[in-house]
Amino acid sequence: MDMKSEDRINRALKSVENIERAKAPEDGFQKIQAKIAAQKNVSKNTKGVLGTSMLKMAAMIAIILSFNIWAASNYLGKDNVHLDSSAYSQITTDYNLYENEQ
Amino acid sequence: MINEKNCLEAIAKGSEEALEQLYNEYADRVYNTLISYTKNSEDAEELLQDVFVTLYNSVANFEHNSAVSTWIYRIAVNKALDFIRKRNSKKRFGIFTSLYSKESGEMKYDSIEFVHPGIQMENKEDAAFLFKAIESLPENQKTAFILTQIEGLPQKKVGEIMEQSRKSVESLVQRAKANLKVELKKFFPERGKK
Repeated sequence: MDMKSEDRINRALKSVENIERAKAPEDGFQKIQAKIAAQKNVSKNTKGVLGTSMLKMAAMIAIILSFNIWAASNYLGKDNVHLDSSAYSQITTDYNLYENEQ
Repeated sequence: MINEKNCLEAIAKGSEEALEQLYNEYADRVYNTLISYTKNSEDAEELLQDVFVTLYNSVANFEHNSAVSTWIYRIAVNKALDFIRKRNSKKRFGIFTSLYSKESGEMKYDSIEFVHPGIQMENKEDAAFLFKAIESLPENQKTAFILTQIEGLPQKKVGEIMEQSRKSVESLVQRAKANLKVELKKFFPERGKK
C-alpha cells in the first residue's frame, strides 16, 4: 500500500476522535408525549369498540334464548300437544279422494 | 442527577414528568448512538421517540438486573439494528421502487454525504468515508465500534449492553478496525490501481 493511501485510511479511522455528542431535537419530548397520548386513545377506543360489540352480542344471545324459552314453554303448556285420533281421522277423511273405495 | 430507580417507579405508575426527567438525562446519548447507525437525523429522531415510548410501555417489566443506562442503550441498539435490517431489505427490492424521493428527488437510501453533526470541521471529509465504511460491518462489530469509538463508552459497559465479555468487545473492535481498513482501501486506492 502506498503512503498516501495508508495515510488517508488512518486519517479516516481517526476522524471520529474528539467527536462531540450530537444533540437531540428540542421538541423531542413533546412528540413522545403525543405518541403516548395517541397510543392511549387507540387502546381506549379499541376497548370501547370491544365493549360495545360484546354487549350487543350478549343482548342478541339473551333475546334468542328468551324467545326459545317462551316458545318451548308455550308449546309444552298447551293441552293439544298431541293430536288425538279423531282429529287425525277427520283430516284423512277430508282429503280422501277415493271415498267409494273405502 | 436524578434518582433513576424512583424515576422508573414513577414512570411505571404512568408519570410523564418522570419520563421527561429520564429523557433529559439520556436523550442526547441515545440520539448520538442512533444517528451513527441511521446516518440520517429524521430517522434517528423517529427512533429516539420509539425508544422512549418502548421504555414507557415496558418499564413495569424492568427487573433492575442491569443499570438503567445499559437497558436504555440496549433498547436503542436493538431499534437501530431492526431499522437497518428493514432499510436493507427495502433496498434489495429497490428494482421495484424508486430509489429517489418524489418530493426532493434526492436518494432515499444511500448517503455517502452523511457527516455526523459532532465531527470536527477539519475531519468531515474523512469521516464521511468512515461512516460509509461502517455500513459494511457485521452487526456486532458495528455496535462495538459505534459504542466505543463514537459514543465513547468503556469496553466493560459495551460488554454489558451487548451481553458479552469485555475481551469479546475488545476483539470485536479490533476486527471492526481491520475490516474498516479493507473497506476504506476501496475509497482510497493505491496510485495506478484506480
